[in-house]
Amino acid sequence: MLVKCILIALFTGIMAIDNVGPQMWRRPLPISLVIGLILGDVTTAIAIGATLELTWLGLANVGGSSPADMIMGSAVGVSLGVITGGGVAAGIAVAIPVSVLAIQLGNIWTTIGIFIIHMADKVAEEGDFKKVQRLYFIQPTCIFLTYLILSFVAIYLGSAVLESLLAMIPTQFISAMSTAAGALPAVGLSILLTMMLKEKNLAIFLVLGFVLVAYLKLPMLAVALIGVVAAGMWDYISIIGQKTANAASSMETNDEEVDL
Amino acid sequence: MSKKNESTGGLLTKKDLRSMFYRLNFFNLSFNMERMQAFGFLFTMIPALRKIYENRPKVERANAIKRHLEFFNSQINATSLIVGVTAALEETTSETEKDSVIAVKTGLMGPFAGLGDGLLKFTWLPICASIGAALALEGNALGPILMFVMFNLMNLPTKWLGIHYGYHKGVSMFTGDAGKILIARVSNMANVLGLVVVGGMISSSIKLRTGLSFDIGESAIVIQDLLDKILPSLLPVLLTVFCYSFLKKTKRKHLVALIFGILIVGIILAMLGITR
Repeated sequence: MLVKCILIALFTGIMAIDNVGPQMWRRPLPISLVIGLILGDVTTAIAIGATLELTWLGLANVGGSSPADMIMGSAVGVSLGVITGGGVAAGIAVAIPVSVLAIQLGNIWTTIGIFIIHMADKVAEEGDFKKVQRLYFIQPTCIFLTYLILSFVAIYLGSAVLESLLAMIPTQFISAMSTAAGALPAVGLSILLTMMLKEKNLAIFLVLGFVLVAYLKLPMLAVALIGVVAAGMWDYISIIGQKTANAASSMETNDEEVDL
Repeated sequence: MSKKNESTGGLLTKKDLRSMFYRLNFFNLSFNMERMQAFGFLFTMIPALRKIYENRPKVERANAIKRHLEFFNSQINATSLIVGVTAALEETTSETEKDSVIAVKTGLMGPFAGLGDGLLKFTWLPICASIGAALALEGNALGPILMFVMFNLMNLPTKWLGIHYGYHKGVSMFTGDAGKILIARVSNMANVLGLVVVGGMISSSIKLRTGLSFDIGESAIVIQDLLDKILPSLLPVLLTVFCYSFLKKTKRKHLVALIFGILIVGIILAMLGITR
């Protein structure tokens, strides 16, 4: 168990760097796969990861502020959900509060970063690229260590605490929790919609996607492909609409010229 | 200016551009609230600046560093274009013309943030995530892997191509209406695609059914069947409409309260047997 917790903690640290770096793996679902492999229970892990992914869909770091620390939330939530046997219910119950608390971590580093960049201002006078570059790696080192240590503590110590807590809670409550968690993707989707529905007349495309799944029961990839077709058709219609408008306005000017 | 490379069209070699691509993948390492991604931008530009200012006086190097430590905030994949264009500008402007470098860089960061966010974060990523999550919820470990592959098929090549294309085209890419129209068209198409997928996910990913049924005489009326006859996935639709209105009215301020609210009400309803 100790070794597994250390491995997960290392992975969490790496994910924190991926989050500010390549951004290739850092979402709840991929994170849950690796944690599942480390803990030997992929099915439960990715079930928790998928639920978290859908809850937090459309939640992204826009303009430097984040509403939830998905790295810490996913890592601790998935790990504890699997280790304690509490499954999706326990995973979500842990992940959400942890993700909110961990935002404060981000605030600490983005504030300390101000001092670092002022140091860079001073070094800039020397015109030395290598020297400035060295300062760039201070903050990520601290970020890595913070996520490593905190996730380890949360998971290693938290599992014992959570297990005894879960033993006291009736199973009826836990299954109720799982049912409730199934509705959470509504939050993620509506967050996404607040971003996407800026052009009101495009809202009708929601109906298309809905019908394809609710009535035709098509798999998501098929829906996405039909969506591409819809996008292409919309583009074509827009272009034609633009051309007609241009033609109409140029015809008006021609009439005026003839009227002498 | 000295030798021009055939392959890149300028002073920078393929190796320089490749180095900038790697550095772009570490863009937010030293993010801070005062100047946001500025340090990352400088870090990405260093291979270009090293080459361009190779034989220039120290003060010009210092100015270049200070120039690129100024405020910057945009979306990383779209920034690849800005990085390429900025490198081209640094190369082709004299020391007195450097203001235009700052002007172009600052002018592009806003619209490109919108473009990058709209295409990648709010369209492509949710599509990959929903396909992956659907598979994972069935117990298929291919789900996360598929999501990883699909997303990074866009993530990495856009960064690579952006730098090369931006550098090659220079500023000419953005002056004139053709560029603006193209950006608007692509944004709209991405928006349509995203909406179709989200519409589908309202039905596929939200699990909300009622277990209520009434006995009348000998037959039982199952409420969920009635609801399904009106509209399949009716409850998920209603819940989404509610969440959306709530978020719009509160301007997304009480997100965590919404999540906890749904959980708590959901638990109560499930324990009462109203939902299942």
